[in-house]
Amino acid sequence: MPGCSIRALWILNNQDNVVFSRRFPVVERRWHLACQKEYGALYKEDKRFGISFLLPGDAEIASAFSTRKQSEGSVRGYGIRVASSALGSDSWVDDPITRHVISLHIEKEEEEMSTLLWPLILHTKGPYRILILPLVEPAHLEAYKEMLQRPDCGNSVGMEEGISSLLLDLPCITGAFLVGHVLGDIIVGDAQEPEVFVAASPTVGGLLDSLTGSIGISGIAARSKPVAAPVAATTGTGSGAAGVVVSDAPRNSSRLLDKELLRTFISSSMPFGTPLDLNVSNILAVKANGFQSSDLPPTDLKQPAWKPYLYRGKQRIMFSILETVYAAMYDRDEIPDTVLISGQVNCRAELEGLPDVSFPLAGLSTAHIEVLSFHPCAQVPEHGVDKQALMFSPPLGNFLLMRYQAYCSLGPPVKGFYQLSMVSEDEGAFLFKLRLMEGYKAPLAMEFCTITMPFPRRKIVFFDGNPSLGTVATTEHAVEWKIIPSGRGVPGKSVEATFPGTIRFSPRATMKSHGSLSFGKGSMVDDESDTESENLNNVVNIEDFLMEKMNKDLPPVDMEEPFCWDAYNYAKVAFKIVGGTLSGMSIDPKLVSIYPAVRAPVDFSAQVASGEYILWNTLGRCPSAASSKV
Amino acid sequence: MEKPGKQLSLPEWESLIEDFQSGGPTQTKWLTLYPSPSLLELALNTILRKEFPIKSQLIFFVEEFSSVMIEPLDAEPALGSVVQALRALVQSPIDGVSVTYALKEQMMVSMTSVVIVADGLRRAPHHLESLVALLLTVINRPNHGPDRQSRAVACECLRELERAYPCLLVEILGHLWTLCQSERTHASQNYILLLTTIVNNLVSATTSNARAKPGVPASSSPSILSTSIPLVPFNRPNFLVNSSSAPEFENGVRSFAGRELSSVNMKELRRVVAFLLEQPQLLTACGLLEFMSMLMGVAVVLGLQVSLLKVQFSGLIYSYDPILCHIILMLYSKFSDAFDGEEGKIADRLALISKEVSAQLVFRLLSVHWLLGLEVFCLKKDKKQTIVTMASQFYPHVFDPLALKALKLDLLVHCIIRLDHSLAALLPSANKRSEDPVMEKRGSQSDLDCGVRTTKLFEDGLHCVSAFKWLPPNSTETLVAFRMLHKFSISAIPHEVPDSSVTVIFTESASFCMLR
Repeated sequence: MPGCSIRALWILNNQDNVVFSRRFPVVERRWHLACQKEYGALYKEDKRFGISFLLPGDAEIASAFSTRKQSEGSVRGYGIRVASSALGSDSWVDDPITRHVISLHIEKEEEEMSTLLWPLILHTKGPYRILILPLVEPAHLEAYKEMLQRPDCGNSVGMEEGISSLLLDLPCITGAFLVGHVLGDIIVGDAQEPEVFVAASPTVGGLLDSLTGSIGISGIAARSKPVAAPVAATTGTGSGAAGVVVSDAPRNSSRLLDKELLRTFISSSMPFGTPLDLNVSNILAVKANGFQSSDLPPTDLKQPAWKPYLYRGKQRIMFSILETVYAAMYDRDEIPDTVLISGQVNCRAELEGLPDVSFPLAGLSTAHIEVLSFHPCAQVPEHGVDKQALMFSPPLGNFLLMRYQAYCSLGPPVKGFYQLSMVSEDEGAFLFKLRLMEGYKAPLAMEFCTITMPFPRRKIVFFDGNPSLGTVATTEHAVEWKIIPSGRGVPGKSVEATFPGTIRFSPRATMKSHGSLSFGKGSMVDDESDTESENLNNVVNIEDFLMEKMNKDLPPVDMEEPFCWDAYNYAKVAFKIVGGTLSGMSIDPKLVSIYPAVRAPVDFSAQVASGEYILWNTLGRCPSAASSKV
Repeated sequence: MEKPGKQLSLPEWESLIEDFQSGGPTQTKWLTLYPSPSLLELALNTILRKEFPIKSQLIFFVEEFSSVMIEPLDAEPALGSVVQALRALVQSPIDGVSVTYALKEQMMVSMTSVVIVADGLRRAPHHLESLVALLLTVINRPNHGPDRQSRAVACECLRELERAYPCLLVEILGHLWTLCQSERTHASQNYILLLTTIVNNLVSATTSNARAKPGVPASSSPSILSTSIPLVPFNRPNFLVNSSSAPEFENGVRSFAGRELSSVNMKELRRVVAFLLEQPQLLTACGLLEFMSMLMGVAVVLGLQVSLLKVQFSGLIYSYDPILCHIILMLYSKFSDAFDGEEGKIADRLALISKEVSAQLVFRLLSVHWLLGLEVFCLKKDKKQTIVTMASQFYPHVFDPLALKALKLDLLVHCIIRLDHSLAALLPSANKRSEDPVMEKRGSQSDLDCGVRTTKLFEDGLHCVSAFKWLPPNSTETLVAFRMLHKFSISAIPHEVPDSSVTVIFTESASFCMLR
């Protein structure tokens, strides 16, 4: 049964040039031994297989990647078989995963045919494209080649020779994705640790002082020496967060590719191409600080590989629950609103030795929890999640202890409606009627709330309207209504707000679409003028007619998008609520126990932020999905 | 360019490295100027210089391109230089500037790689022995403070050598077990993995008829945990001494494998494995993947109780780390019988992962594929399939990316087809009704219920991309919607099933009628 080993990796920039590459010859040797076993000693010379046996050079990779991009329409490719998909191309396989696990056809000058290289894990981050080639058996590559070459009308769902079976058999693909994500974070200087907010309340006396002083550098204190990864103790960004963020994550503001950092990380995390540890903070701390004779291992226990240093200093634990609300608000009888909460419990345990921590999760039994996922350090019994208590042995620094998904136990934080009625092609009237925090009580407080009406494909030339509350600002393509401005939080009471207004756009002819990726052979030609008057006579509803006209030249969206945003009118809500959770999930600091027993203050904070929180235009078309509660 | 033998300047090294990475004719030009093994010698000399700004880059260069720098005939002297350079660096005292732990560690990894790639065991066995001895000296200081990371790296080097030459370290298994038990720093993961690799190679090499023969007296097969052979100096085992070619090497391992393991040996192995099974909580997720990949094979050979593995590891499925989830899937694929009845739990969990909005899209897509992969696996093994009962879990959410919607629709298509098939199975034949009016009524009712259900599944699934009705024909929503229709059509009657009754079942199914 295979683990995960990587033959080579390449990083390309947005000009499709290879800017970094790394090969692992010992893994390559294993690949060649496997090929020899499968195809005989002279496999390299045998062109019948059409397989790329030898690792291509950087130039060949760059050229093959560029060719694929052209034939597949974009960096990732179509992912779905389209009219222009050719036999042998990834989109021929007709599966969206082929936008992430790609193949390249390597052209050798001296040979007449191209050879296949697969599976290449593609991860994009910032301007970079990371390609990782894990080691698979030749038979796996043959199986994929078969899929690419099947001349029929496609692979049926759940067939034995399908790509699903390959992905199940190949943990190396899963591992390579994780490697890709970590490398991506490193190259853009975005190796984030989960945020832990510490409430600046007097109950944790002197905490704020010590955060900017010693506690913020507690990771360093624990390591008894300066740490490469600087510990950020910055104040919460945006909207004046009531607390500070504690983190050990390295912050690299430079956007230039730090090749030395990459080399260091790769050589430590996967010395022979086999990933052994992908924790950036730990690896860089070990590289920068090493160990002293005074760093003694525990006398009675073995120190885990995921905790290379033991904490020394003042002890405490911090928990932060961060919830993100996703909502599609329709205000229609035939479509129910959907409100979904995605939450995470972040933790930072500054505890000496290797203790176990446990606590009952209030809300776990009462909140409507749908999904629960845990950090590897949590002990989840065989029969599943224990509703009573959660036990874990904390690693160093900030970590994401638990993720959950739940339904809102309170009402939606922002509800009401948004209506936009187009009276002509370029002019419309709108009305918002909203209730914020209805039924919410202190200590829940809304720190800010902003509503944005985006019109990415129209240019706003005139706007008129006065909200009952807050201020309004317009930009070329959006109207922004700050119902509750930052810094003027509304604690625990419900707020009503209305906002009627009119808006006019410049005529459409000059407009180009924004934010959508063109793929396929979509025509952007504006040819509606001939048929316009004819259609106007046939269509009774002017709104439908206008929408249809507007949508005629919409380019297709990327597969990462949930739908074609530009085809709809909507208002996007952004807010932050502090002082609790909306799911009911909570941690009682008094019930947190540590084994072996030690006195350590426990801090708990919670906050809620908006994710995609959309008020769909009640008078227009809106995307929806069937409810699974059948 | 420079004449052979002359030192290269920094820009020359940089341009040389770039040319090699790029591949093609420029690489050949350099190799003509610096034939084997002069370029390697030059690089090693430069690495050992007190100061050189791109030392680490140069070490990686040697690692990555040693195979083109060393001709097979030059392997012996070249590897001699490699091991000598490594020894010189490893034995130099740390000064924090030109000699650091990081440099030593990197050099250990890269030079081990060079020795393996040049096939050290066959071409330069004595240098390979020196390398192993050097690495063993490094790891033979358990719990020593400052060099714990170097010990971890040296363990990895030894593990890679053991992986390249199975059973190379088998005669010092006893020493390594002692070291593994002693090590308490975070480097213990590497000692554990090294020990597991050797055990895995040992049990894989033993033929089935040589295993566990209770009649074999203990004396005929010496203890495998014996420490009578000293750790250093290291000598490769006798069965590898005459392995000057690959087949001979394999024969050597086979002759070793042919050796009978006594019941005492088996007991010893079980003891080691019992120890190893107490360690997984010390490992990182990647470390655990390596560990389990090897241990599963060992468990089969030693006849371990798989139910114990299941109890110990099944909690991993609740982790948000995709690697840990995949370990459970590996366990399931290998020991599906021990997980009998657990398929539903695993499938449920995978369905939930696909719903996690905070998870990376690619892992949500993978979880759908794993579900489909498991379904195929169950079908192949004649086990109960679970997906069909979970159809409502696969309804796409409005904010699911279109890529995920497309894959969830695949799952729904699968459910619809299975339901259509099970409906057909309820009836005596696809187009013949029962003559018993009661049965006919019952059949009709379930026919109706099932038909209504599949039709609803179809309509509900398609709902999330219903904008295809009014969006331009090249919209992604249209592609996804028609892909679902297409998948339904081709999956219901696969190409390889020319049976006309299947076609009848399909064309009479409620979902097909609805689609029509």
